[in-house]
Amino acid sequence: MKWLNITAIDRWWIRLVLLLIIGIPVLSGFPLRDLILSMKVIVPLYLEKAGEISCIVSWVLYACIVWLIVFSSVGAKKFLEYLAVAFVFGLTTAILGSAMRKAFPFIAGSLTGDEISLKMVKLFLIIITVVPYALLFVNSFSVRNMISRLGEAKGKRKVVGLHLALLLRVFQHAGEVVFNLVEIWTEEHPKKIIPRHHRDWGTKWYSIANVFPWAWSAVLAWVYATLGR
Amino acid sequence: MESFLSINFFDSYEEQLDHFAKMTKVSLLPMTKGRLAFLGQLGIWFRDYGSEDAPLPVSYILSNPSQGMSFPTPADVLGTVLAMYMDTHNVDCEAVDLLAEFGLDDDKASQSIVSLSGGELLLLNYAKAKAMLPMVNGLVACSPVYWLNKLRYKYWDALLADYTNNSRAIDVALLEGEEFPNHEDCTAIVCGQQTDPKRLRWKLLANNPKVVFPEIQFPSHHPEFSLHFLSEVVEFDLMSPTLVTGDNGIGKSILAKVMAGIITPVEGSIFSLSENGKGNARLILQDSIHQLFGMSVDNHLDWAFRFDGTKANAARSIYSNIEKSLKKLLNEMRFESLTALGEAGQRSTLLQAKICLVAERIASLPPLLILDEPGWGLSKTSAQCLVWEICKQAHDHGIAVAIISHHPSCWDGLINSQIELTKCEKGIINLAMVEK
Repeated sequence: MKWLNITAIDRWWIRLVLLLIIGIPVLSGFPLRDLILSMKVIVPLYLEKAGEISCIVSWVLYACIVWLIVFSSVGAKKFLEYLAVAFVFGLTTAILGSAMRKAFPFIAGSLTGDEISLKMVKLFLIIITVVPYALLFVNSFSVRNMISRLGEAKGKRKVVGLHLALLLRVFQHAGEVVFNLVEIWTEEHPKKIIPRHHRDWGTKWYSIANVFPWAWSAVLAWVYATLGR
Repeated sequence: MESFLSINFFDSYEEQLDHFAKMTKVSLLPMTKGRLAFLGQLGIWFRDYGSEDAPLPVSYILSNPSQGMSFPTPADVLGTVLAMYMDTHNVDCEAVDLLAEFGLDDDKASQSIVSLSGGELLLLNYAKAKAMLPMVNGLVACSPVYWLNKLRYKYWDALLADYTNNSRAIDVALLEGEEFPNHEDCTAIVCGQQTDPKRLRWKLLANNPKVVFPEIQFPSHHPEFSLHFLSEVVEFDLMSPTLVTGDNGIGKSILAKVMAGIITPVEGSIFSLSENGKGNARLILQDSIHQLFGMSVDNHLDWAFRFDGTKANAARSIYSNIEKSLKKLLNEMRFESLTALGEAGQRSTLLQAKICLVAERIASLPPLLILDEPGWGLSKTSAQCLVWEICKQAHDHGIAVAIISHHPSCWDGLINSQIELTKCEKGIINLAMVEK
């Protein structure tokens, strides 16, 4: 499926256009919205939540298309790494989202338990689709080539161009060092999501109260470590 | 030749960086001082990026060679510089030639920067400095040979000659007592003047571990490569502290990560056995400052021990013991200031970061603690005092210590056994004990 390999396209602007076209459903909702509406007709009406189910099926279809393009463009190993990142993000968000709605019902508003579950499944699907796409997008352009092209530019165009290049490079850099940081994280957290030192875990009441602040600190630590490395 | 070269000595990493900032107008992001300081500096970087007058027209080599590298592969790093004055068609060939000039194989050109060893990164910095030569007035270099094996000092000499022959100034910032080609060592050896750490036996159980790094296709292509660590014996009887040596890029840091359980071997195994039992080692990496993981020094212990009050107290007590002893030792025998230990009541220096990381590891009671280039960023006296104190604390807790270093002379009088890594053929590394 070499013809699906976006990164093999020489001209950067064709790559950009194609990537933007692939991203249209995420950015604008089109044509997913129409697909969901047409699917509602197919989904048996006697099923409750026919709308939500159509939405989930549509997102699964879209996710498969995005994954196929990402897989063809970056190869199996990188694709699995991207998926790993996406699943960690997706699961963390969905699980934390459900737990927060259970713990603080006012966040959920008038939604029932089933509706919350479907909402979280949809959120999970969106994340595992968008993250690999975003990683492919960011890494499909060479900052080195951008800077070379800006060599002869002058004035404001050059300054704006250089800052855009720097911004893109910051995102690319974050993606590159993240796997390096996993090694450092593993040294201190061999079980990955549980702290190495957790003797009081589950034995003292304040441990439970500390789990959420600890998880939030972990997210922040990752953000700063990625920027600082 | 001498007239273009100026060498300055500093007591601490922080003073060295201040000098670097003065000479280049480039400041590093100070994560050890907390996130606000970090974000403030990041903002200044972004604001000044690309402006004509912000950085001075000099090339530079930083004490941590990974910090000067802003592109994903060596070919990109050199290509971006060369494209400023060369025909873009010749840039890639010229980049490969430059890498070869500084002892790096052409397959390194497409390897991800983050997977290069410290020594290889430093050699890449040399190649970048050479590429920048036609566009700059001089070179500012901090500890420019620290991460190199002595056999490779010739590449630094070659870079120095290039700059000197083109009448460019070279400013070298070293830490007190740091080893440097053609320069006399100027500080006294402090080891031996203190109480010896208790002797501790330990065993390295090595069953020919092999690690494989799969092929990478994107964003750049790099083929699969593997490292097989072979040894004639399965059980090495060692006396702590143990020195681990070998050439740049041979796989010392990879071996350390396998021993620490960070990288899982595809075949074979390697474990450590000491008074604390058999298991994986704990590791302080050579660029240890990144192990704070986006935390300030102050916050790191609170974070690591949020769910273990007993160990938190043990770690804090180990931290204060090491810091107190170091302060006392340095005060007694030093002629230099104590800037490496920061201002009173503040923990923000590299030395304090190292003590903090060590305290956390000792409190977890592993069989072995591996210190990868523990002297990086420290003056010779501070480094020796620190490692001496770490050995004392570790041995008291039944933990053996292994030191990975290119500077065996720095640890004279402290080392009780030695392991050497030598390359047999591509991908095969021999592990052997060196008789002392």
